[in-house]
Amino acid sequence: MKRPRRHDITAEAIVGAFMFIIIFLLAAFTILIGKNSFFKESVPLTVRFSDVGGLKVGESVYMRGMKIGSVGGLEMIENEPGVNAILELEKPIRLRENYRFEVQAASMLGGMKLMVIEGTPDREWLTSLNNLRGDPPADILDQATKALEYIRNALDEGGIMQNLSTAMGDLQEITRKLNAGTGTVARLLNDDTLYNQADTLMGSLQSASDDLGAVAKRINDGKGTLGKLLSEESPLYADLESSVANLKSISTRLEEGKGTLGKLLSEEEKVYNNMLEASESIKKMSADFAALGEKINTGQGTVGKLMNDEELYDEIKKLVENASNVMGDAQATIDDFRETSPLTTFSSILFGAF
Amino acid sequence: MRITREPELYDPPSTATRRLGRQVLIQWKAVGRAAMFTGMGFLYFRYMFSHRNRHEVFYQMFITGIRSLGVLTVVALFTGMIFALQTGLELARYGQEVHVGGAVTVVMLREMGPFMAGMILTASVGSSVGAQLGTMTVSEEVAALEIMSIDPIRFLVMPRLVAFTIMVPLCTFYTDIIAVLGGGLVGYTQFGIPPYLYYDNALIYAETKDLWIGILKAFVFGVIICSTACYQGFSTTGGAVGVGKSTRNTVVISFLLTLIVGYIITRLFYA
Amino acid sequence: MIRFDNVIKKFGHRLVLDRFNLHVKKGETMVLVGTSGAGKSVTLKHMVKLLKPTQGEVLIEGEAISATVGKDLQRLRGDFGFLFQSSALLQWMSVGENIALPLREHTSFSDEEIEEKVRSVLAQVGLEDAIWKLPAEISGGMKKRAGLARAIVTEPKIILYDEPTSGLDPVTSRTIDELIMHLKRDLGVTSVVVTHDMISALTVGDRIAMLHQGRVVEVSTPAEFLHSKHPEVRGFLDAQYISSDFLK
Repeated sequence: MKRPRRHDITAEAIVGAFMFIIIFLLAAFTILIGKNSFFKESVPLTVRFSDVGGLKVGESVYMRGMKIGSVGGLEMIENEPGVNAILELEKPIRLRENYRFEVQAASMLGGMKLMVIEGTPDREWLTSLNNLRGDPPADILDQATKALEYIRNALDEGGIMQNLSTAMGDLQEITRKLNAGTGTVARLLNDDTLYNQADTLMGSLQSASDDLGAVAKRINDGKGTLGKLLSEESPLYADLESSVANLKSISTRLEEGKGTLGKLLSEEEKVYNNMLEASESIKKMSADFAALGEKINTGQGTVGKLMNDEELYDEIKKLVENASNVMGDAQATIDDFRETSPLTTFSSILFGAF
Repeated sequence: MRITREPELYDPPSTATRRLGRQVLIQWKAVGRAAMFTGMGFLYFRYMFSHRNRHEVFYQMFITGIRSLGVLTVVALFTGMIFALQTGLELARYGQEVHVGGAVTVVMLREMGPFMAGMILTASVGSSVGAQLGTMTVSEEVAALEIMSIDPIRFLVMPRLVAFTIMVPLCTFYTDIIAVLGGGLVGYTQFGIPPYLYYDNALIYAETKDLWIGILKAFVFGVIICSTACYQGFSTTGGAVGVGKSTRNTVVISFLLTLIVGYIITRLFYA
Repeated sequence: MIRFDNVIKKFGHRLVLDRFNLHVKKGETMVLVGTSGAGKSVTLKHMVKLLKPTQGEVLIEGEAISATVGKDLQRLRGDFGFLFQSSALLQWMSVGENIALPLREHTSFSDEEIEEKVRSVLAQVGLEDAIWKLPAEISGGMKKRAGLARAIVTEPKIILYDEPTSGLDPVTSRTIDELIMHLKRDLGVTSVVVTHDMISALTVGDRIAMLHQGRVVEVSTPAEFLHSKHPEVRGFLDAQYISSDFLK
């Protein structure tokens, strides 16, 4: 018996189309999130790790910062220590003799990635990619601790402290003499070079503190560069390192130079307390100061000018205020970070030192 | 199995304990009956494409799935957008807005997709099935079918069960997609996450397991909604008021069962 | 044809049929009358096993329908056409589809054959024009006739009518009565009619059974029924102002 109902056919067609589309999408989605590239040829590469440090199947493989494939499989090796990671790469890669495979954190919030470092150009290319070895995973907390140790060692063993105190002594001597108005002031009056030198130094200090300000701002903005801070290759790290070092040398010096410059210390003991650490560049800074002190002592100079020039004094004062503001900012930022898990551990280790 | 039921009359219970015992017994019977309807419904799946059932099966699928797409689209879109906004605002505090994609996708695939689809289909289609079968029972149409030796389970339950078990999972996936797109929209407009980055992040966090457990959940929800609605419909007594009560019970019971079973499935596969 | 042997039916503790005995002969029209709650509809439902007796048996041509299941039950039910009080047409199907339903489900007729049969039964009940109408679009009397068409399309041996004239105006009620008599004459079916309507009962019935409190208190031809001395029968007749010379 026929029924004059057209919507039955329409219903069947629509239901059919809907089911077809959704099932197709379902299949497509499964393939996509399964990260199985059925349609792409992949190049397998087996790397043996002693420990994969939580690397999971499907996570990305990077080389020179670009994603070149993913982890296709992980298997325990029977009767031997270690795990074989089978990588599925989009293209074949070449490695040099000092290649490295490192398991790293993909983000602060979790996930891992595998970094392939192809090696430095001074080594030969590998002819065979069999029997590749991966590095044991670096613990993120471990890395942070190592960085701190490095800074401490530089301080203690590099003679920075000693250098610094010598320089301080010199500076103290100068200021004492200047205060008393004794010595070779007349000669200093005639020499411009030293004045200029000091001025340049001040300028560079200013820019250093500006740098630190920028760093603090970036941290404040939470640009997610904390990970980078740990890596010594990072320019940001070096930036921060030298800025802090620069600032430290100034404040330390000012703290101890009780004379004219003593005024500058006015408020912030906190600055000093915050700055317990320093590194290589401090050596250079303190050497500069030592040279300066020597020159003044030997009377080559512009001390007269130095004495008469209000501007320079003001500049130093401003600089120190500036620096302490910046440090205050940094401190606030650090406090912010301390409140926020999961960054707590990390930030407290890194910034606890300051 | 007989669908038309004799009125079950009991003596007024003499004590509270007896009352409780009787209630437990009645509920057990209800669950057993609903389970039997469902089981028989599944048995009749073999007639799904037979000449006499095909039209009805497709028509029910049309009603259950296609007719609900409109409301599903709106709900899914806004669920995705709200979810992206909320997580995005929190993640932005750590500068991690980019993970919105992953958050929305995983949550939709695992939990919210099946839940939203189940909820909407309960409210729209489940309730109408309850009401329709209730009306049919009250107006003796079900009894008429039985006398004509047309098994109400094959004739009424099976097409709906097919429709629910197929359409709830499909609608769930549809909800997932729309919600993820909605999330992407908010991610792009609100947090400036480029669509490809959102998509990339979504794929990093989503796993095939999430998708398929979500679909499994949706399938179970489909069975629950359909069997509840059919049971409530067939158990309707007492005219229009009874139909109203059945409809209400259908929605409330499906809702509760969906939540509880949803939790159990999550617990089974993720804990 | 249909025999009730000491059937007892209880709903909970309430006795609905109390040692109920009834015998419907082949080809006759038996009318069951009685006040509401006397057990008329329950009796009818026992005949098609919509209800099962608590005790006793219901025999259809010597077979106990109350004990059969599955295919046997399906075969026995195939002998019946049932006209429900509410017609019980499926609301989402047209009248024609409703009538075609039992044929589609149980026979292997082609669509054309089914349509032909549907049109012929619709002609019998005078509803040719309503074939593509939905039940909601037709009147109560037309629904009854459509329900009747559905009941007879499978060519049953027994037709059960549950209150065929209730809720209808007197004119339509008489046309339904006419139909019942036509069907009996043309198809030679056995009929059981449950009704409150004494005019209908006296018109269509070969025998009338009076039910009271779950028992048959009087079974007789319409003429005898009018002159019955039983107080329940008298009360029932008097309440509808039917005098003993009604049939003249």
